[in-house]
Amino acid sequence: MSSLRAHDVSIAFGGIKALDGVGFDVMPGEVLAIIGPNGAGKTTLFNVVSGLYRPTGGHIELDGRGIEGLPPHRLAGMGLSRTFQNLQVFTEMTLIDNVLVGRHLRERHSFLGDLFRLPSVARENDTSRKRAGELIRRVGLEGRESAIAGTMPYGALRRLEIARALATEPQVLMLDEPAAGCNPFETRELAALIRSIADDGRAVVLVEHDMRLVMSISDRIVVLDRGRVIARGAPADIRSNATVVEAYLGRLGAEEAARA
Amino acid sequence: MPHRLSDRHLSVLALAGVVIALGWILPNAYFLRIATLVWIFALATLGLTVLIGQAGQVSLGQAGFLGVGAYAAAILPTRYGLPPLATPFVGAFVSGALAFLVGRPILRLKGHYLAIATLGLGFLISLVLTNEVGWTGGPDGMQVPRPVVFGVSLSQPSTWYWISAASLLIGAWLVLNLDGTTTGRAFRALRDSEVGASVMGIDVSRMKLRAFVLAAVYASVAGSLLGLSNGFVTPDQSSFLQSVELVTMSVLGGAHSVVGAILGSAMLVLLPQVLTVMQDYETLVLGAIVVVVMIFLPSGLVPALVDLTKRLTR
Repeated sequence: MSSLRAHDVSIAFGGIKALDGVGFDVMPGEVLAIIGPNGAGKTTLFNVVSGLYRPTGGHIELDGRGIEGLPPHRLAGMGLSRTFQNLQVFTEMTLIDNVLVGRHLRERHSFLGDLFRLPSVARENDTSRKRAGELIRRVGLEGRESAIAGTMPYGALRRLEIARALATEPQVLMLDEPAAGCNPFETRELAALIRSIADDGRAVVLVEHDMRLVMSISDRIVVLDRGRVIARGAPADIRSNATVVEAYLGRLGAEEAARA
Repeated sequence: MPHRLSDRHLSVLALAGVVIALGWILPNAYFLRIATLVWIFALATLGLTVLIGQAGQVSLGQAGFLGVGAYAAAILPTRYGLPPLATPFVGAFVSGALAFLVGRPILRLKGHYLAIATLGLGFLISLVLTNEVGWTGGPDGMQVPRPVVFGVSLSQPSTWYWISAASLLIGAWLVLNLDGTTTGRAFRALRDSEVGASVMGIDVSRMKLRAFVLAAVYASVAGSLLGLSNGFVTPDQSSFLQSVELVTMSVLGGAHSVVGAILGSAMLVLLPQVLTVMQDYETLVLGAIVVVVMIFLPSGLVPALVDLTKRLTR
C-alpha cells in the first residue's frame, strides 16, 4: 500500500489555479521526484500536502487515512515531515538543539514536569540526545553539535533540516530542493544520504532542480507544469519525453535540442 | 549534560547568596523596601523572560495581570474573608484562567497585532479596576489587610523582603528549569520559526498559550506580593505605563536571560530613586539612559556583559 497518496488535488489563489487536479503516490522505500519549471506548483503542492495550505479540492491520504486540512503538527504525529526550500532552521539554537526539537513528539513531556524538572526529564533527554547525535553524524555534521545554527553555511543547514525531519521518525519525508546551493561534492553525498533514507523503508518525496541528482536517485518522476501533471514515469522515460522537454525549454528550444 | 545541570543550580545558589547577603547588609527599612520592590518586579519580569525572550510573543498588557493579583490580595480578604496569604494563589488561578480564555483567540495574532491586542486586554482590566468603585474603591485604590500568622501581623519590611526574595528564587528556579527541556526547546523553536516548529510536531498555538498563562501567573503573584507588602493597591499598578515598564525591564536586562530580568528590574526600580535629586529632569534622564543602553547594547545588559567577559577571558 502506498505511504502517501494525493488524488485530484487543486488549490486556487484568487482567480489563479496554482494546482489543477494533481495526483501522485509514493511507496515505502521509494524516492519520488516532482520536477517542473519555475512556477509549476511544486512547492505549492508540498505546502498543500504538508498541511500549510488547505486544498480547494481533492483528497490526500497518509497510510490510508485522509489528511487534507490537518495542521502540520498533527501530520508530524502521523509520520509526515518535510524540509523547506527557504530554510526554516531555528537560527538562534545550536545544531543539536535543532535536531532535539524534532524529538518533540517522541518525548513524553508535560509542562509541569518540565517546570519542576522531574527525574524523567533527564532520562528522556539522554535518550533524545543519543538519537540526535546519531542523526547529526548521519548527515555529516559531527563535531559542530554546539555551533549556533545561524552561523553555519547554507549547505550545512539543508542537511540540518534533514536530520531534524528524521528526528520525528517519519514514514514519509518530503525534501524541498535539498541540493540548492550545494557544490557537486556535497550534492553527491546528499544523493547517497537520500537513497539511504529511502532504503530504511521510508517514502521520500523530492522537489529538485538538479537533474543529475533527480535522475540518479529517483524511482519515479512526476512532472508538473502550470499546476498540472504533464508526465509521469521512470527517469529514462521522462528524459526522452517530448512534452517535458518542451515545458522546460519552450517549443523553439525543444526543436533546437532535438536537432542538437 | 551534567554541566548544564550544575549551571542551573549555580545560578539559583548565586542568586540566593546575593539575596541573603543584601538582607543582612541593607541598613534600614527604606532600603529593604526598595529591594523588596526589585524582587517583586523581577518576578513579574521573569514571566516576560519566558513569554518574550523564549517564546517570542509580545505582551503589552502584563500589568493587567499584575493588577488582578494585587486586587485579589485586597478584595478577597476584605469582602470574602479569605486569609491574606492564600490570595496570591487564588489570584494566580484567576489570572491563569483569564489568560487561558483570552489567550486562545488573541495568540493567533502576530507581532504588532498581538502587541495591540494584549495592550487592549491590559486597558480593559485597568478600566474595570478603576471604574468598579463598589468593588475596587475606584481610582483611590483600597487597603490590603495584613496577614496575621500565629497572632503576629506581617507588616515588617524585613518580613516582606524575605517573602518576596523567596518567591523570586522559586520563580527563577522554575524558569531556569525549562531550559533544555522539551517545553523550553519548543518555546525557542516557535520564536525562531513557527512553520518549522509546527512541522516538528509542536502545537504552536498551545505552546504560545502555555507561555502566556505562565507569564500571567508570574505577574499575578508579583501583583499580590506588591499589594500585601505595601498594604494598599491602586489601579495605577495595572496601567499601560506599568505594562511598558515591565517590558522595558525585560528588554533592558536581556529578554531571554533570568539574570537580565532581575538586573533590568533593579535598574528601573533604583534609577528613579537615585535620580530624584534631578527633580524635574528625573524622567528625562531615566528615558535617556534607557535609550542609550538600547542603542549600544541592543540585546540587553546581561548578554552584553556575557559577551564582554567571553572576549576578555579568551
